[in-house]
Amino acid sequence: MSVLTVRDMTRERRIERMKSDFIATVSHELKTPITPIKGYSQLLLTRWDRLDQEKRERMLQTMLERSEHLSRLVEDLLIASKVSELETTKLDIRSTEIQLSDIVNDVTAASPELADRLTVNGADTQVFCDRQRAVQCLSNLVNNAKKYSEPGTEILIRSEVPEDGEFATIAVIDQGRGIPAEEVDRVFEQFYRVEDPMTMTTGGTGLGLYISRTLARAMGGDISVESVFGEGSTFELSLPRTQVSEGETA
Amino acid sequence: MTKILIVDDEPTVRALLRDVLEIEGYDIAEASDGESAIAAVADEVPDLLVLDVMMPGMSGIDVLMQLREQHSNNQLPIILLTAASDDDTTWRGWSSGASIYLQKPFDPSHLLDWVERLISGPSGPSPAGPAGDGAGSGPDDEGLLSEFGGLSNE
Repeated sequence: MSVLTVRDMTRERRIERMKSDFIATVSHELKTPITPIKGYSQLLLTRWDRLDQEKRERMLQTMLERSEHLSRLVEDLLIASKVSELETTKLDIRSTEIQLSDIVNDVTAASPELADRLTVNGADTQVFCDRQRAVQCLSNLVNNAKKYSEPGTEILIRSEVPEDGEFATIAVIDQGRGIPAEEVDRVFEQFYRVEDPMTMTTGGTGLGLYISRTLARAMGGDISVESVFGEGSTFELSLPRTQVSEGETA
Repeated sequence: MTKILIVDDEPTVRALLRDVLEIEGYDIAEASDGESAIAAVADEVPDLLVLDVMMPGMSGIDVLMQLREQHSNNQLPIILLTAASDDDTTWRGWSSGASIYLQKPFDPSHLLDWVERLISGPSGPSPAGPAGDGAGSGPDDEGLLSEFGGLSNE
C-alpha cells in the first residue's frame, strides 16, 4: 500500500512538472508573435503621421503574418487536445489524389526566407492524402530542421518513390545538432523536447512532431527519424500512393 | 548620434525594435545571437544594448554576464527583454547586472522612455526620478514604477 502511494506521488509530481513546463513553453511561444503585433499596433496608433506609407504597409504585413502564425499555433494546441494515438478519427482528414511535388511546393513557397538553404530533389508521383495536413507535417519537419541547425547550412528535401512500393516518401535532411541516441525514440512523444524545457533556448511547444506523426498516421502514412548526434537528422514522411481502405490506418 | 545594439534571434522582433528606436532618431546595429553581440561590442561599444534572453546558443544572460566583466552599468546600460515570466529567469536577469528588465510583449513607448532615461542619466536608472523631457511621448510613470514594483516584490 505504501509502495503504491509513493509511486502515485512520483507520477503526480512528474505530471505536475510536465504541465508547468508545457505552460512555460506555450506562453513563450504565444508571446513571441504577440510582441510585434502589439508593438506595431501601438507604433502605428501613436506615430502614424511620422511613418511613411511603405513602412506602414510593412508593419501591417508583419502584424498579419504574425497573427496567422499565432492562429496556427492555437490550431496545433487544439489538435493536440483532441487527439490521442487512439482517437485519430476525431481529426477531419480529407484525402484526395495529389502529387508529391504539390506538397513540397506548398511548403517551399511558404518559406521564402529559407529559399537559399533549401535543396529539393527526387522523384514525383501521385499520393493519396489530405493536402493541407500533409503540408502541415512537412513544414513542421522543415521548421525543425531550420530550428536545430546552424543558419546558412543546407536543408535537403528529397522525394523518393520506391518501385512497386505502397508508399512514397519525402525526407527532410539537415546538418544540425542531431538527436542524442537515447532520445531519438522520444521525440514523437507529446510535450517532449530534446533540450531542457527550463532553459528553452530554442522555441517550441513539444507538440510539433507529435501532431505531425499523428496526422501522418491518420492519413495512412507515418513519420520516422534517423539521426547522428552532432551531424544531423533525417525525418521521413511517408504517404500512401493509393487510397487506404477503412480500418487500415494506423 | 546615440548608437544602440539590438540582440534578438527573432527577425520580426529585431525589425520591431529597429522601427521603434529609429523613429526617435537612434542609430541601430543588430545582432542575431549572443556570440555576434559580444563581437560587435568588442568592435565598437554602443551607448546601450537591448538584449533578448532566450536565444539559441549563448543566452542573453550569458552575454550579459560576459559583458559586465568589462563594462559597468554606467558605461553600458543593458535592457533585458524576455518572454519568460518565471521568477527564476527574472532574478537571474537582475542579479547578472541588467539595467532594466522588460517583458515581451513590450510597450514601445515604455521601451523608449527607458532608453532615454538610461542614456541621459550618467548614474544609471533612478526609479524615483522623472523620465526626462520625453521626445514626443510623455513618460509613463505608472508603468515605470510598476516595473520596479515588480522587482521590490521579489
